[in-house]
Amino acid sequence: MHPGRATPSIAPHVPTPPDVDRALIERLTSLSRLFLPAERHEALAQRLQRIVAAFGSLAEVADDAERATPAAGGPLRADVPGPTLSVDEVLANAPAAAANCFVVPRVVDA
Amino acid sequence: MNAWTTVIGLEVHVQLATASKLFSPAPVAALGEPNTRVHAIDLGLPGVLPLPNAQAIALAIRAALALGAEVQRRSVFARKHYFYPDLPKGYQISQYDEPLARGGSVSLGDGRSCRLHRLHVEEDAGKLTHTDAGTLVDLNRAGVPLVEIVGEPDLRTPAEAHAFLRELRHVLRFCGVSDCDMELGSLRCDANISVMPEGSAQFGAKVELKNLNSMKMVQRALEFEERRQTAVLAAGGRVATETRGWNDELGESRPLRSKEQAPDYRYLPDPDLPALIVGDDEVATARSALGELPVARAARYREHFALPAPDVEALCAERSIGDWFERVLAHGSAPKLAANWLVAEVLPAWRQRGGDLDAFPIAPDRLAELLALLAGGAITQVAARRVFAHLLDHGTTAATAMRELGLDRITDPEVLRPLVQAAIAALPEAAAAVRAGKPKALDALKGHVMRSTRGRADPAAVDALLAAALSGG
Amino acid sequence: MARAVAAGHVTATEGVRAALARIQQHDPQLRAFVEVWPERALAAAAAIDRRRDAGEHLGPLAGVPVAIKDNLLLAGERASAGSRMLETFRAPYTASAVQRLLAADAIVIGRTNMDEFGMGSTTETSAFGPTRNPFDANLVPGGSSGGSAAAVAADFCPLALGSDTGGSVRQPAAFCGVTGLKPTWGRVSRRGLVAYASSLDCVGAIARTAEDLALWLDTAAGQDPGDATSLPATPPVVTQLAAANDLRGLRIGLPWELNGPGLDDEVAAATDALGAAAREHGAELVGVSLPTVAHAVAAYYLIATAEAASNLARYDGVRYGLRRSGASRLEAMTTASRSAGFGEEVQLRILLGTFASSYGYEAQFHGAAQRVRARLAADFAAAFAHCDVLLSPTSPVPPFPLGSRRDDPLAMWLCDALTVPASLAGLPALSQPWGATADGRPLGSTWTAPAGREDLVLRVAHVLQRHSDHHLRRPLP
Repeated sequence: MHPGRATPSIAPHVPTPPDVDRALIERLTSLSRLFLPAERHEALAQRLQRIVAAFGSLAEVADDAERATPAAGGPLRADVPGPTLSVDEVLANAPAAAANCFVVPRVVDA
Repeated sequence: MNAWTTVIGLEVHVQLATASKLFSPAPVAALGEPNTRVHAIDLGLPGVLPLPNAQAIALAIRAALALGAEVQRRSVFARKHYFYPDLPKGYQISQYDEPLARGGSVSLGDGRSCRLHRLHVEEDAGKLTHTDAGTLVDLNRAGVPLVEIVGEPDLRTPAEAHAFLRELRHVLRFCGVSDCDMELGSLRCDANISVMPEGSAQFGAKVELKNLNSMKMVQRALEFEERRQTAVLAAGGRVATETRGWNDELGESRPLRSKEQAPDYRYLPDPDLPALIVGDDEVATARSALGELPVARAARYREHFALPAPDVEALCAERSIGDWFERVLAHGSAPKLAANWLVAEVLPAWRQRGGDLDAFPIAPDRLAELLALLAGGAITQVAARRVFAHLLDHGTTAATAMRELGLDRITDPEVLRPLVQAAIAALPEAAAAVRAGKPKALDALKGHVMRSTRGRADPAAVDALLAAALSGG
Repeated sequence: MARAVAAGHVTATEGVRAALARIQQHDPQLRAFVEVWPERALAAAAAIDRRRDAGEHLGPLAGVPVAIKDNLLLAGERASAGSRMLETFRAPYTASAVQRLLAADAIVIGRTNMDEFGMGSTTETSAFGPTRNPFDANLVPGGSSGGSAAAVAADFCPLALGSDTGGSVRQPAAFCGVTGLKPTWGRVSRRGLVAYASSLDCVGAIARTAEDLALWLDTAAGQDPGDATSLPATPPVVTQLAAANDLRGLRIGLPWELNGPGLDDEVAAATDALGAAAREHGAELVGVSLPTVAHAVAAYYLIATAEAASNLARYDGVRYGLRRSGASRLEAMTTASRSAGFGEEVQLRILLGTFASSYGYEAQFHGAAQRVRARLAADFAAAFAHCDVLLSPTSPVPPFPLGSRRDDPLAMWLCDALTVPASLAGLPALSQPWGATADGRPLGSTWTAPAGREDLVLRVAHVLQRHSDHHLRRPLP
């Protein structure tokens, strides 16, 4: 029934050794604002390795193709002010609030 | 003697004059209690989607056309990521590799100009207030529409940077894109400045200056930085690539943070927003809304109306002034007379009152009527000023005001002759001097008659009567 | 159900009471729901009954109890997206898709469990514990809309909303023996859907029959001023189904890349059987090819994780969501809050997405993925030159036991292999139950149509359901 069934199609691609070092993991956790305990570095490294490996296959098929980009849309919104949330609604889910504002630990630009 | 060349480039953020925010229907308003201008979209709640404001895009296109930039048929909104409490979504919606417009320039006067690199649309962040108890986050400003205009490093002196900002502000205010008020933050400027040996092909290390809250501050900060960098280089030192903040009270800049490591904003095309397609229609609409640019209008006033430079400058300061002026002309006033009255009377009175020129209590046709009476000799210059003042307060017609003020011009010799006699009687020395062949003394006698008629006496008629009375001797 | 309520055969209140009773009986074991809203549901039902008694016109879903996935907002109620991060978050507005349900007089009875932020294929990554498959409590229900699929399979409600980013409606529908529709991207407004990967996210639905899904789609589809990427309305589908008795003239394409040897034998056999049934009803089967499909999973993960890292940046502990207090510095507060609020899988995907979009890698990784995506869409267009709909299994494997694949990312990855191509191309797809493994586990196959042609997948499934009972298997008494 299916002429091409002999070719594996959903088998994983052969991974190539990734360049996943401590510096990369630190950069990613810092950019993501996540703390990743050392015992989970391996899990991340494995997944990154797969991504890097998959990239090899992507690059070879898609070198010359156009990038998919957002399509054109419908009419834009007319510039008419509408209702806003009340201050209580704005702050309803806030972990900390004071003086009608959200409060966060002091930001110091330095 | 100067062995150094300064290179300056400005990045300017201009708030677009819309009623609602760039991606939400929350109203844009300068004032307001914290967090009272916030829609769920501005709060970055889960599930919210940005809804682009048609007028913000139209104004940005208008700005691009006003600056001679090339509007791109297709541009793409992109997410610029960084964590900061004034940025509700963890990213700012901006434009990255496909901006709304590229190129363009800003005139610096004297035939020099500064090229523009690009112009793109983006949303503003919220406002942080630092207190001892922590930092307060107010999102009223979050999502307010901005255009960022990036200039090429074509500026060579702080004065040129000032001229750039002045002209940019003039053009954008003129075409209604923004009120460009630096004090209120609707125009903000960051400056990049470097110093290199004269004739060098390679720019020096670039310093970015922030906290520049007025045009004067921009110039002062650049002058300070130019001196500081030149001194470092002259002493054989190395200028650090960094961001520095300007402290206007101390009159100096201080390092904010090192820029050795460029931030990674992880720009990503925003999947919530279709590509922005600008068609010929939109460009044509923006072009017609743009109207005549200030440079073209000034040239027309100079050449067609032969107006003096100060009048041209005053009339072209804002679009509404020139428009008002031309409405006066449309009612038949002579350009020079109308320009005189605008500059000397209308504009000072308007500035004193503030508000919209269209709501000025004297409409252009009423001023034209008054100028016609003046030009036709029905009223004196002095009386016309009184009529003008009356119109400001009562808003009636010039003819009615003249009657109400009793300012119709007196030409009847039978009415004027006793007043001339009275003047001669009151000022015998002046009369004697005229008789002795000193015509200058006539002015005092004439002034007496004018005072006694509160300016209503026709000067020519008074002249004739005085001449007759004093020559017969 | 809606017809029964409108005709007065049953009151909405009776229907809701029955649903609540059944939930109370079985859900403690299944845990399809994160939260049930009995008062809200009974009040809404009473209102419907009053309106019917007053002779008022009722909407097309009048009185139908509907469950909504935990990532769809309903004003005043909690919506957690399966995450500790949003455990106490209360929605200040209602999702457009839920508004459409309410406007059609459906009765929202509760929110269903899901993989955290949609990131999973088993509902095991939910911060509120896993949902069980109604056919066998040891099996996963699939995911991420596992709670919605289980709720329909257990007859808690005839309709449940889900969302589908890479297969999150179709795959759990297949695992739970029910029918699931992922519409064209943009067909149903995403406003109020907690975002995972915006360019892939679709609000979808799960029901017992394709006909019920058509009824839902007709109320849900259409341009929404609240979603700039939503598509204009298309003609209603339900009315077209009444006349659909056979599949004569329909050409069914079998992409060999999606019907390949990586498949479980029983899965492949079930899809073959479905194809054969379609042929009996007049359809023609043709072989087609989607060459880029081999790269779809990789492209999908790059795009989905990059967008997820972006969409989840808003959870910073400032305006809503979990905050770990105690940190005196802002950055430490945000890092502590995110590390505590997000589960392991979500954190990993954020890190992967940050990598895929970070400076120096974006062009190589995310950019390459977007090029693959463009090429894949071209593949589909070429295939649809030869056929009207595509047929493939929904999942390469049958439902598997809880915990069996949690620590095997490769296996989880492969779970999505057959569903992500349609997601990347934004196409409508419907999974219908057909056949079972020898030990009785349900199997499903998926129909995929060109963009905007939900009517095709609904019609073909409807015709086959008219003449079969695979979709009527009920696991619970």
